[in-house]
Amino acid sequence: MAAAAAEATTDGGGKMIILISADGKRFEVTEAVASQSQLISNMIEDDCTENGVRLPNVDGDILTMVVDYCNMHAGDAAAAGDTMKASSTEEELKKFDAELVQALENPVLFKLILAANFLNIKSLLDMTCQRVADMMSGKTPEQMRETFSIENDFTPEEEAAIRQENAWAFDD
Amino acid sequence: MAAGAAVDRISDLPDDLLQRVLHFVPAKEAASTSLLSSRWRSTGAVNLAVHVRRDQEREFFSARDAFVRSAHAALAAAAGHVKRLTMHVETERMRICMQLTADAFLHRDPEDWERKHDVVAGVVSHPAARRVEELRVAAAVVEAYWPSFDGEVTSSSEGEFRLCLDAQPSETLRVLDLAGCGGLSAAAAAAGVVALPRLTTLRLRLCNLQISDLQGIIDAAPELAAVRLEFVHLMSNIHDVPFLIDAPRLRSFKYTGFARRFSLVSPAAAPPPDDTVVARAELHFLDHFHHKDADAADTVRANFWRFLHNFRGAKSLKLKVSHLKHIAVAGRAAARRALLLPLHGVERLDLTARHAEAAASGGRTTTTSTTVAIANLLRCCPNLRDLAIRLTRMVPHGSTKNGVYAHDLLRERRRADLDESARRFARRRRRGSSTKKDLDDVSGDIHGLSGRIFHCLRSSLRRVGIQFHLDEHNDCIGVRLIKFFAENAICLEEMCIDGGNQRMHDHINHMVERWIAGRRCSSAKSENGTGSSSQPDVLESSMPRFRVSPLQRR
Repeated sequence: MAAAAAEATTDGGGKMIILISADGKRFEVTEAVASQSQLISNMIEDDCTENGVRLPNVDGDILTMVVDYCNMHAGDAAAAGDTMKASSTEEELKKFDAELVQALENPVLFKLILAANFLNIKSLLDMTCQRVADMMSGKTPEQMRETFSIENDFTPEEEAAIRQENAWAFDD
Repeated sequence: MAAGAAVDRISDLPDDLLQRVLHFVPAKEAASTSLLSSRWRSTGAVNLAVHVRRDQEREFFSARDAFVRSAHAALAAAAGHVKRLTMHVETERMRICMQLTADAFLHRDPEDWERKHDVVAGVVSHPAARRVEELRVAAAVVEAYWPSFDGEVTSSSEGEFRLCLDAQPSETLRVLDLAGCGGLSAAAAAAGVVALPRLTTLRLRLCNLQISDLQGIIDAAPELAAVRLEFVHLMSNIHDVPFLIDAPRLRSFKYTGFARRFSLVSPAAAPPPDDTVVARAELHFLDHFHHKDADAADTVRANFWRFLHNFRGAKSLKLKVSHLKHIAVAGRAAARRALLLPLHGVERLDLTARHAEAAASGGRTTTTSTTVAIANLLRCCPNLRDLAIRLTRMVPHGSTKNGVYAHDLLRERRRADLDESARRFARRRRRGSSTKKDLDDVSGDIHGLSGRIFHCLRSSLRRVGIQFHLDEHNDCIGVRLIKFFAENAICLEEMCIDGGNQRMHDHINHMVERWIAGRRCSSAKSENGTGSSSQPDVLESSMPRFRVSPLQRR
């Protein structure tokens, strides 16, 4: 009985809605999957998903990743408030998440951050921001510039002044 | 992506996203990003931190002056766009001049030792910080040999600085996070102006405050939704008044400290409607040291249950106590009725407590009080759906003030525990089926639980998680609890088990199945007798009605 009920929530999930990316790709997902996005969840509540949801800020290849992520985490969201979850699925999710962000090239990672922010998917946003933060940790400003191709637009004098201000952050 | 690699995309992210990224970056690297490019200078985050080493006694005050200069320069450079301001002052305990503390760093004049300076006020009231949204100030004296871990302030003589927010009522402040604060005030509410209209989160650690100070902040912040008090010592001029918080919009409350007299809403106020009560409460009660004294122990027990009653509307309750015997209410029914008031709202309960090994602590009495306390909680939560019981053998993390020391100690003990359970497991395997026999031996009544009727077991409890340590000296409390819930929780859907040994639940699965089978037979019998509506298809199915899975470790 219980097992059947659990399956119904993961397989069924009720109505399907269509997400349309900036370049016109269409994705059919269940409401349960899509409502991990607070933006879409609000739209579902307001009943304005009938003709598909246009996402003009999100490219098809990015939306593919977002939909993959949401599909993977759909059961998770339903159980998010619960005190505990089976650790096997937990581990699978962790592995999936790690592989998702590790594999990304920088520009794609930032697009994913923007999409997660626009769609308001907090867990995905935190995960992607954390990934960028990890790439900055333990690096000197010079190494960070190299990692992210940031152009130094300070004059040497300005740079010296900033180093002076925040001296504690630069001494090792 | 070779072409794309040369283009700087990260700097195109809007300010709030860059800040979000910086939120996850360690303070030092985050501060150093101001050097990356002009774009990164204007992200709105200013992180100021200073650490005075114990060999810097001679330069103590010049270090202070340098810090103040650089702090003001950083704020001036950010030119009014500061949204997140973090200030972290740490001084190591000095070898000779013991009075060179964080307090001295922030306030004292080296000439006459008067409190002539106020470094915190100077930074916070800087014009550039006028629109600050998140303000974090931490000041602490740390031991040189115990590095602060995880960036948390773990040890300090409380009350290193005073913070006055009345110098400039902050209309933008959302988050206020203070550690080592010894006084706090906002603009007087009498002026009829709400001083902190947007403040939603207040976190205080290792602070020494007047109750009236705290209430003043809460009164000035009508939107305050989350309050965390960790090792906060609240004082009052009036002797023995209950510590009282009147925060109508509070949704989440986290507390680490002693079980003391505490009241969440002023008694004069009408009881709030259900949708405006605190939804989540996380309470970690520290050990009192005078449990030997019976009266004091009774007071602590009564305080605990009254403290809990403040959260009767909370959906989720997380509890951490060092010993369940300190909260167990046994004996006269009148005493139980007086203390064990129902927590109708609670649907999720996560209980962490220490369960001393029976051999080490005088046998059955410990187990008895542990199970009595669990029974007390079950009785108080008639609508419980999710229950997690974590019985640890060590002092729960953070219950001593010397967090670093405890942290290391616990890590050692955890490792030892793991080795130990691996060793025992190996031995059991060699001894063949003795594990099965051990588990089989579990029988008999559980004091306080067996034979009692609990509303939540009959109608609402869906998930149970139990974490414990199975070992030879143990009285199998975990296994007995598993058996109890398997047999008595009618609508159980999932049981999560962690016996200190990853393979544990493989052994126990078939035992649980048998217990359920036993329950099915007996319940089938009894339900035939009473003729109540039963579901024969479920009762006769050969599948267990709930899943057994390993408990997720925290």
